[in-house]
Amino acid sequence: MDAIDKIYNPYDFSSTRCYVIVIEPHGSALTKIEHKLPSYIRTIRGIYVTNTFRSNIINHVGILSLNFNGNAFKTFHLPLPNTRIQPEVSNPLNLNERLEPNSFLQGYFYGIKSLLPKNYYRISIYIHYDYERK
Amino acid sequence: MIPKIKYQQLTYTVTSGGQEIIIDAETDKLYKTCTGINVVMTYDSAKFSTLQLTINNLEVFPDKFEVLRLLFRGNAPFGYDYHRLNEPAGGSKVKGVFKDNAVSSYPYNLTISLRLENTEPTDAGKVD
Repeated sequence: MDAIDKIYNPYDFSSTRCYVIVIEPHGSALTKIEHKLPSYIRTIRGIYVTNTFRSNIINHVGILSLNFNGNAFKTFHLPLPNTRIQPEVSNPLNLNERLEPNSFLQGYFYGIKSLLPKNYYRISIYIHYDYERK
Repeated sequence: MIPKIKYQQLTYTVTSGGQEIIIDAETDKLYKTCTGINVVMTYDSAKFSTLQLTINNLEVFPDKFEVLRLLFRGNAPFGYDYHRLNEPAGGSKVKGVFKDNAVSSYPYNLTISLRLENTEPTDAGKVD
């Protein structure tokens, strides 16, 4: 594969299926996340996160912290960039996390104080998971 | 012999805030596989609108899936801008809903571009 192919390789949306969780912080600094994942999600292959906050001054919106299977020692931390500086690429972050039955997605979003409480924004967490084509 | 690749466009006009557009189309019967998708909108701030889409009764993009992830990638060179898919075409039903979430500036146009391919050259559809 050429170097340019590696850099700009677009994501194959048919290689996984996708499940979307939406969080609306509603002006609070700390937003708790607790979401029961559907039983058909067995292995999470990747995560992609977007947010609707836009600003020319503030580059980051806050920090997202997630854990799976109730394992707080294995946590997924992600500082969320302002949408203006987030490149419009489709590839999710690789994860390869196998879920226990009846697993919950738990964690929190800690928003930057200067955005609060006046700015409304929405955070979307895209869970890319394995599936079997019938 | 038909061309190996076709780019099939589905174009809609969004005229008001919060509008829902029902997508009900069919891929070209002469092409076997849908290998890519790309979305173009004439209003940048509409990129947080959502697109739920099924191809051949299989959900490809779920509810609440933002168009942002399927847009023409501004940092990618021409020819690298299609997001990859591997779904059966050949007359597959393409169904879904686009929900507008823009702030203002109506109307604007939405174009969903599907890349259809035949992995093998074929004479299907040839008229002697």
